[in-house]
Amino acid sequence: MGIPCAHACSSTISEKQILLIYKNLINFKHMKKTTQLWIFTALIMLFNLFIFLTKVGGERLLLYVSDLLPVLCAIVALVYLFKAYQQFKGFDFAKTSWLLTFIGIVLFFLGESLYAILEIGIGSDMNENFPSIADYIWCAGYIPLFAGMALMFYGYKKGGFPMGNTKMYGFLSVVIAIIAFAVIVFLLIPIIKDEETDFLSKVFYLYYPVGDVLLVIPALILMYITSLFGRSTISMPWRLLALGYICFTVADLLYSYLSWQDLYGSGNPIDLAWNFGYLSIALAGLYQMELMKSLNERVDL
Amino acid sequence: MTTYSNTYAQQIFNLLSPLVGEFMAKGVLKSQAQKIGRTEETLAKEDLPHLADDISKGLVVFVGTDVAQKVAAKIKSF
Repeated sequence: MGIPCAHACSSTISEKQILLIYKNLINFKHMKKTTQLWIFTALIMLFNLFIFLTKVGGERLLLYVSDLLPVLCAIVALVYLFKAYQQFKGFDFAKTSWLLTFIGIVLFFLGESLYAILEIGIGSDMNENFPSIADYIWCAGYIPLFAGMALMFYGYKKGGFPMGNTKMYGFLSVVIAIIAFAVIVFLLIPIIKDEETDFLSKVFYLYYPVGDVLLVIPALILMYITSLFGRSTISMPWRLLALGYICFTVADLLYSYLSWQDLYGSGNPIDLAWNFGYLSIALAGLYQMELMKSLNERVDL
Repeated sequence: MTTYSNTYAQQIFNLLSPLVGEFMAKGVLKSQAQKIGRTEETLAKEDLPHLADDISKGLVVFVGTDVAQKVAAKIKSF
């Protein structure tokens, strides 16, 4: 005997199908936490993409999704970052760098929340009222994020582990120089020259790309260093952190350009990069937490 | 799978490779052995304390002092 379909359709959901759904739910419950978070990330991305592409629910839903989804993703990131931070016992390089990353994401979360309150709650035009208080908080968030990354890199270098091929650093320098050149020519110089933009707005329009380029330098270096570790569990958190920062950089550079041109609005696909960035950082925290737990429980150590 | 005829090098490799991957374990063993004027195949029991401390320093940034010291203690016990 089947159960009637919830929609107005003639088909029924068979007991076999219910059993399958139930089994999948049980399987999900018993999956590794990292697998669960990967699935959650994929679902959020698909949902985000679906809303942007179909615009189902109109401009209002688009606005809610565009403003509230980053808040949710930032919460997930800060929860797992804090859990990762808690796993460290002594206050050393590692613990400090995870703490700084956590503080940075807390500030980003506050920025996202204030942006949502201003736009949804108060109905403020965020392009007209740029920079808002959210921008001040976002900008402050870059400082601990950069410090955390720099500390990780410094700690690694100080630890004396292999740094990899020097030719690769030459290649990375060229990549960074190209990014910096493109940012300066296509974004910074036109913004500086723009007579319609006031001084304070210019400072913020310039801060984001400069902050992003500064953040992406250690991120690219860490990405390269972690590639030396192959698929090892120890490097996974760093790899995901670097990926998250690279996503932020891409999104922020596009945001700065679109916002300056008054072209940024709710439902812009660049939101996907921010949300994926937060969830990558959440995954980094979770992998670090799982790594620390497994090492603390290993009896052979 | 990398194999060493030196027992200490093999034991350290076996301990590190699940943690940092085979490529890095090999690289760490090579660079840290070089630091103390040895090769992987000429490591001796008396080199282990120094080697363990150096490896521990490199691990701190990934897993913190506590776990890094546990790994160092394990290496010293070989």
